[in-house]
Amino acid sequence: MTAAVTLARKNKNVLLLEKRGVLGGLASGEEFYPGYRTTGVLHDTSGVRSAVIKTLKLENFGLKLGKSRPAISILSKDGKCLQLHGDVEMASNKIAKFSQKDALAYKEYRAFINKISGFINGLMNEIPPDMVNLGGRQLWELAKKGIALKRMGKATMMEFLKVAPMSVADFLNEKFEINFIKAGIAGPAIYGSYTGPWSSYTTLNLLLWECAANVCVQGGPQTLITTLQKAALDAGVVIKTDARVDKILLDELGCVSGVNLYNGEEFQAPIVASSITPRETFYELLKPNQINYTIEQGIKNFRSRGTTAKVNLAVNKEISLNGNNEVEFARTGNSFDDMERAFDHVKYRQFSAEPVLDIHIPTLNDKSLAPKGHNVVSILVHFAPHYFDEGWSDLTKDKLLNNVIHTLEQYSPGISSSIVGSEVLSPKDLEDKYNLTNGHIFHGEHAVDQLITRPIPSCARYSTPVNGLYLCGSGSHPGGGITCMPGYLGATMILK
Amino acid sequence: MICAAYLAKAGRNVLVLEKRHVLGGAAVSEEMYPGYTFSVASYVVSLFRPHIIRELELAKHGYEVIPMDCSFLPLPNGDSLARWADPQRSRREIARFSKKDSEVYPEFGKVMTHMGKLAKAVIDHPAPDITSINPKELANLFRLGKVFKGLGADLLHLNTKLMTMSALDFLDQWFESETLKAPMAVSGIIGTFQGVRSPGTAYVLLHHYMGQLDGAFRSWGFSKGGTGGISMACARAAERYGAEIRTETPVQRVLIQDGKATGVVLENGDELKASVVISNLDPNRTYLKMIGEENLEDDILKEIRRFKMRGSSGKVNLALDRVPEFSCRPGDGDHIRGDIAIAPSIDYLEKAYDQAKYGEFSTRPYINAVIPTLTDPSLAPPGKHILSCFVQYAPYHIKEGAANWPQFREAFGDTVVDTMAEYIPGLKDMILYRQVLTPWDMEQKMGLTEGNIFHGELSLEQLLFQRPITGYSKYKTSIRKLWMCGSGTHPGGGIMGASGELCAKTMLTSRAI
Repeated sequence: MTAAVTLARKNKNVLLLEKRGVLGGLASGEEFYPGYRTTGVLHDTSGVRSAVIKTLKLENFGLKLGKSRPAISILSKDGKCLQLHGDVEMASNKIAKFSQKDALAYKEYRAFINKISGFINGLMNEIPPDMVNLGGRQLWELAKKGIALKRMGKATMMEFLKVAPMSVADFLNEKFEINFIKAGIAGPAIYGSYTGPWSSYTTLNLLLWECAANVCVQGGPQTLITTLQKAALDAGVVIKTDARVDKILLDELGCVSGVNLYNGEEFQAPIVASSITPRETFYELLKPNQINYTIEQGIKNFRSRGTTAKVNLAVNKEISLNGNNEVEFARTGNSFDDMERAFDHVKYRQFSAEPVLDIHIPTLNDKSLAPKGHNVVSILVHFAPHYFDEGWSDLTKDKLLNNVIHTLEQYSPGISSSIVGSEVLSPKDLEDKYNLTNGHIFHGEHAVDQLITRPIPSCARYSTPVNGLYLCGSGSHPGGGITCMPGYLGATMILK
Repeated sequence: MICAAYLAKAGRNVLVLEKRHVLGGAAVSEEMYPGYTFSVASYVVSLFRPHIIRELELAKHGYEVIPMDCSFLPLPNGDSLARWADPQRSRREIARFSKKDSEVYPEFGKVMTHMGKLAKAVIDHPAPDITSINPKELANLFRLGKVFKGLGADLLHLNTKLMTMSALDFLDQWFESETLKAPMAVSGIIGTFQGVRSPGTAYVLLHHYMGQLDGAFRSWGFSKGGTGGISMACARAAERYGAEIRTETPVQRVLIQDGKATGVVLENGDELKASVVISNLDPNRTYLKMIGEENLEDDILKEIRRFKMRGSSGKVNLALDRVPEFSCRPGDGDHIRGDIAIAPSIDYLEKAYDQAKYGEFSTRPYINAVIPTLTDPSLAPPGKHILSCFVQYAPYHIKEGAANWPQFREAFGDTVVDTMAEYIPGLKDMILYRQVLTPWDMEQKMGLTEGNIFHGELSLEQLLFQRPITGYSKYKTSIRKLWMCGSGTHPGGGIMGASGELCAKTMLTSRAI
């Protein structure tokens, strides 16, 4: 949708085709149980790029952007709760109640993030350097990035090069002493990925999240979708829902000439931009003889093992987590070993009895999402395998739900008796409902070799070897999560 | 000793001080049982730099490595897979598990060899320092840049993948058969505290793959006389050039005056003066024991403390009454003259790692075993044999605390013998003598901090210009006139000789000595 708005603003004729009845994919909220709504499958909007919001003037269409990341409550199994505010001073003061040393360490940690974010955000918010045609101009682009790296200052640069390949457990163990705090901070390093806190390079994942987490969208992802829809219509984009694309059509020269839909309709266009997963784009929307061997192999090897399930709960009263009932966002984790054990299970195609929970209670912000006095709990569950030995069925999904509720009970005693309705989306369900390859919420793992040159070198700058076909979704730079960036950069490339 | 040999060859006055009664550190042969010569720790060689063998004329001094022809994988269901130096034999064996894989296998070998050559460009020179703007450094970087550019975009991307992916993910992109992938993936975790699914292990796979013997890449071999044979050849070469070697002479610390090394103090109190001191100990021991915390600046101390050691392996050496035969492929044929892997599946390997993460040794361990006596009968009495087992995982940090390892030593040894006995009927009756080395033992006996066989984890943040610490990756330490020449420096561990050679050459070109 971001790509559509960007293009339409530059007077291009844009037709947006959405398979489902509503727009937004994983960012769309829905009524999961009669009378109870979510604001999105994903709930983290802290990575939305305010520069894009400003450029597209989305605030004129009703979007309200908070000035900092939202407070996140970090929970321990033994009843502790830490409110990690977006503001560093406030967060540090709260940490001081547990440890003076950690309070100071947190300030130093956020200061380090500040020092590297110029370089990181420059890298993540621009069209990636061209690694395929390494001619003079491209080497100069790379050299400029190298210079930006050096501009961080020698000490910061050396520290960054030292810590980026480390496991997030090693990295945070160096700085902090309180286990549940470390585990909570580490959350974004492993969400949606095929790694645990003891895996190498997870520090880089954490740093990327920290550098980008600067805002929040009031009303959650759904509000962003509603705003983009208004802006798109205003700019002249034609939007069709329930319009699933069957195939991208190529002319006799192999260039894009349009699309045809499942319902038989056909549209002609010289350019098609796809924001579905790379594998869906190349393997489903094109015929095998229309993609070259490099694309076929590269996309086959683009790892996207889904490890996240979604559980939505309809609860008939106020919710308190470790005694705190002002909690809109919360993370469990408790310790690195606990998180690592949860991850271990997916390697053997099972899910853990005690998963790591990424919790959002949107009703604290918007009471219209549930009946009066009731609440919605939106939970991203880590880790659950896409390919599951026993197979995903109602029976196994119930088991998953019970594990989640049982885990939640530790933080909110009695909650199980207040649950009036629920929805479980396994990675298989996510795949079926949203066309997500292997149910991967980010369209592909955020492993180091799958960032920057994402998804594969020949498609890393949004254009593809298929003339007229562009990629503009989470399977492109800078990756997944709700950021608006792949769409914006994809459109920028098309305009170029 | 290689460093000593190069320096002595260049006419310098060199004295080598060895704590133990035998030379070689972890590359040592010892007669642990009458008539049986064990390669106590390190047991195979491949990465030894060929030009060092030439330049120090090591063959004249007894260096002889016999190539291993085979990698054998016995399976619990009675089947087995042997991979040979001869590509046709390998193809036939692999085809029984996957025809597609049997065709891809030689292609993979070619690509990895190509990448190995690239790696050679990195390991045979001091580490590039990307934080420097010194013209010589930039020239070095430019040279490397040209090598990388010459690869083309696809191989460049492949290089990124190799540096960051897990060994298994990397192999998944080439092969389908788990029977083939499991023994190949384990090269990615030898000596590391990682699993085959851990990001960053594909690099270690390359590190082990770039071995070179007589010009043939990826071949491994046995040193005649055990691994200590290599150390003794190096010692003789050093002595031939005029170096003096003293054993049973443990050094307590380095003598430091005004921030400068002036000699060493031995454990018996004697002081020996020297114009330059070179330590082969790992970074942890060199900085914290030899230099001492009181002589280190805070930032150096912090960096050394973060340098990860984390031993993860153990060794069990057995003296046997007769040839051990595998029930899945009986006989003492050439299939057991190479290395033998107990690695029946990926889940098996990963579970072994998972257990170690939480402070236990693997009750179902990965074992890499060799029967060196089949190739070098001089190691044991006629008709008798040695079974040498390298085992993972045996974490240094067991949950009871590392100092309690001795209590678990025998249980660990039993686990290994029991596992091997599943494949070798009657093994237990053949055992005349058993030596078990836990990471604790390796630390106590050989000075390997936390039993890490590479003097420090081979993870990206501890390699190249960051090995052992940024700013001191070219063999110097933070103390003037004190240098380092062991595996804790670039290019890392394994019996390569490269660290010793590059240290000596760096010292000579910079006229440090």
